[in-house]
Amino acid sequence: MVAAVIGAILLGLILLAVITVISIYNSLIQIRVSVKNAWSQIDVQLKRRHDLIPNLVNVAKGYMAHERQTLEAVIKARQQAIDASSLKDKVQAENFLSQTLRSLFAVTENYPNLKADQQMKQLQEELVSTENKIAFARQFYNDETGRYNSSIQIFPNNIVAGTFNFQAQEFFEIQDAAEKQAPQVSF
Amino acid sequence: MAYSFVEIERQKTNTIKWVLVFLFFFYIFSFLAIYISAKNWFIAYSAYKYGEHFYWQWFSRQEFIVGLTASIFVIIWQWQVATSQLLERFIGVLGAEPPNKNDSYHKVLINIVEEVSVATGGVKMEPYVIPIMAMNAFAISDFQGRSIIGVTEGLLARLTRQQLEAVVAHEAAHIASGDSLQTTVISSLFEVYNALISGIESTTGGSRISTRSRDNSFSGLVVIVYMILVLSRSMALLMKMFISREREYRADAIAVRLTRDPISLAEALYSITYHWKLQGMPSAEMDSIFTVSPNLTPDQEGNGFMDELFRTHPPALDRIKVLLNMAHEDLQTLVNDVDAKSERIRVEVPQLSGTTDNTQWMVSKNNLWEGPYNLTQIAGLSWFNPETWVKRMDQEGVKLAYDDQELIGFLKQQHQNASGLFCCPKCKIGLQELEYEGVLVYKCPTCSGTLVNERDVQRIIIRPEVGFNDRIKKIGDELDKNTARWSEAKINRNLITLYTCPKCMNDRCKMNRMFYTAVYQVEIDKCFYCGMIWFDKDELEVLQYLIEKRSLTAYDKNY
Repeated sequence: MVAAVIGAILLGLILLAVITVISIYNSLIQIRVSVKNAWSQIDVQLKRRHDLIPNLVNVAKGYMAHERQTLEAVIKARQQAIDASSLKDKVQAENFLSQTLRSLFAVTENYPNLKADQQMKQLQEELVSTENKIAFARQFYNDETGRYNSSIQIFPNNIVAGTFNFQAQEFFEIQDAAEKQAPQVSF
Repeated sequence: MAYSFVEIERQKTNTIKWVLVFLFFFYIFSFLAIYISAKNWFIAYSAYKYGEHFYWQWFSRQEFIVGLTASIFVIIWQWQVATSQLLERFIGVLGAEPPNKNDSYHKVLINIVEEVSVATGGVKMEPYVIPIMAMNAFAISDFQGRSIIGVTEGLLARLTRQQLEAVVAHEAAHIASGDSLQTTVISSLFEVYNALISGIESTTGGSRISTRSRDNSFSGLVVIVYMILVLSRSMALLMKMFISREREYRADAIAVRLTRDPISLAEALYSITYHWKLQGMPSAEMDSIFTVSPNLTPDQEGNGFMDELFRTHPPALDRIKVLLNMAHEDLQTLVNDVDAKSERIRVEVPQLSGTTDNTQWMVSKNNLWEGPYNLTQIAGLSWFNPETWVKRMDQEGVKLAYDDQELIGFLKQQHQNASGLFCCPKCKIGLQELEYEGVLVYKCPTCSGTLVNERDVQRIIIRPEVGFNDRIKKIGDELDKNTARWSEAKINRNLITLYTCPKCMNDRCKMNRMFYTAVYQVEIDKCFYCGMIWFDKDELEVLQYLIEKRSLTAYDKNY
């Protein structure tokens, strides 16, 4: 009789443990998928920026023949960003591309004709919008990554995460060090 | 602030259900009240007539069940009406329309909505534009998960990109948190009364309803229904109790979380509050879907208990203070910043390419030299062809037009630029497309006249992008002085001088020459068929200058 009760309690406990593990596992999977989605959203926006840059350079070329250096820097940075494969390289290359674009826009301030160009205006709006989308996508990705990283570290999730090999995700960070080495703009 | 958007989704409250329960009890109560009073009145009347004693009677169980069923049916019917074509009806009442991709201001809105959607992790939202000068924005959603963010033209024209982004983020917050679904459905439920009342008024002839009703018993019923409806409409006030004012603070907080930019939102709120916000909208029931309550001026937003109870929005100033607190900034700085930002740098009036060129040519027509003409003028000469003899003013010698690379290149380009749609009603040459204040207009390269769609004229007027030179200002001021004698102002409507509409090309129905309005006496030619308006040289700019000078500044100073 006693053995039966103990057996039932044990069975119940095991069942409870299994259910808990399953639910934790599922919630972790959910967050991981959401992180992946967030990353693919960044990817979409980065791709869009890569597509816009050749047009921008073409339009700008017509007006600013003296700024060859800046334009070439942008094209080179774009190529690097496309070639980058690992997350870390990608982050670095994209950040560098952002800087070169920023310096390009700084230079365009000196060319009123270019600024007034209808096509340039449209491209600039598109690029501003894409930059914002990248920033927002990155912000969302980082938020989700933060949520994911903390959820695999808290108890008891860490046990489940350890068993099923859930690994911490890297953040998409803007490196301040790289920010400081902005290329010199020659006027 | 530990919101993930998934969590917010889960936090939806049961407000809609409570409203339905409330309405249900209201219907049962009013049904029984009317029934009992009618019954007792009848009994009392017959008791008086036959000299019997009068006993007050309540209702029986059967009667209660009838009332219950009737109320349930009314609720179901009301729900059906309110939730079918939910968004379409709101769009219809507000006159909102999808943005035009060729309009650069609308393009910015489309982009911003996409950006904010990315920031929320992919909540789907459709941008819409209300074509009026007021400043406000709204968000509505339905049960199918479709959501719309609507923005007025005034907001698009006057806010900076960051401020607009903050407003859109605020609306997106309502959508993501499920607020907007609640407010949309509840507003729609109470809107049904309005629709019914106006329906009854239009069929029975409005105010005469009470005198007519004595004639027959059917009208008596109508009067009772009408009274119930009027009573229900006043419940729109009560409805506002169901809609939490906290939701605005929460939406502001989420918006800041999305854009990380509390200052821009505070600035936007400030400039909306102290402008025309949309007073006089079709119905007060729609208050709650807007960013800032449309129906109150800043000084009306009191703090008393009654104000608190019946208000759909917290006072804008309180919201601004919360936002400023987030950014550690004070009100005075904000006010200065907003004023500084509203003073936009004006650009010059855009011209067609080539009109500013200085090179000139002499052109031979039937062996006689004409000119000198510049490139655009040559483009307007109908008899000009590649075998015409030309002489460049800054060079020696005479050659055929097709030998002059610059000339022929320009003409080819003109040919490509020409819209191919319309011809100048004056010069009969192809009009060219030009982007002016964000909208597409058609400009004549020779006479500088402009063809604009009627709706786009409104947009051009509210957008403060183009600055005016002294010549335009002088013409405008001169016109302004003379408007006092408007009754004497004459328009030359001689049939020979009237234009044929470039769009309809109907010779028998010329464009009507008229003043833009009696107040702004700029002569325009308007086609009443298609709504296209032709402005002769400078007329459009003068009109803009006049309106900006008079109405906008006057209004802004009042507030």
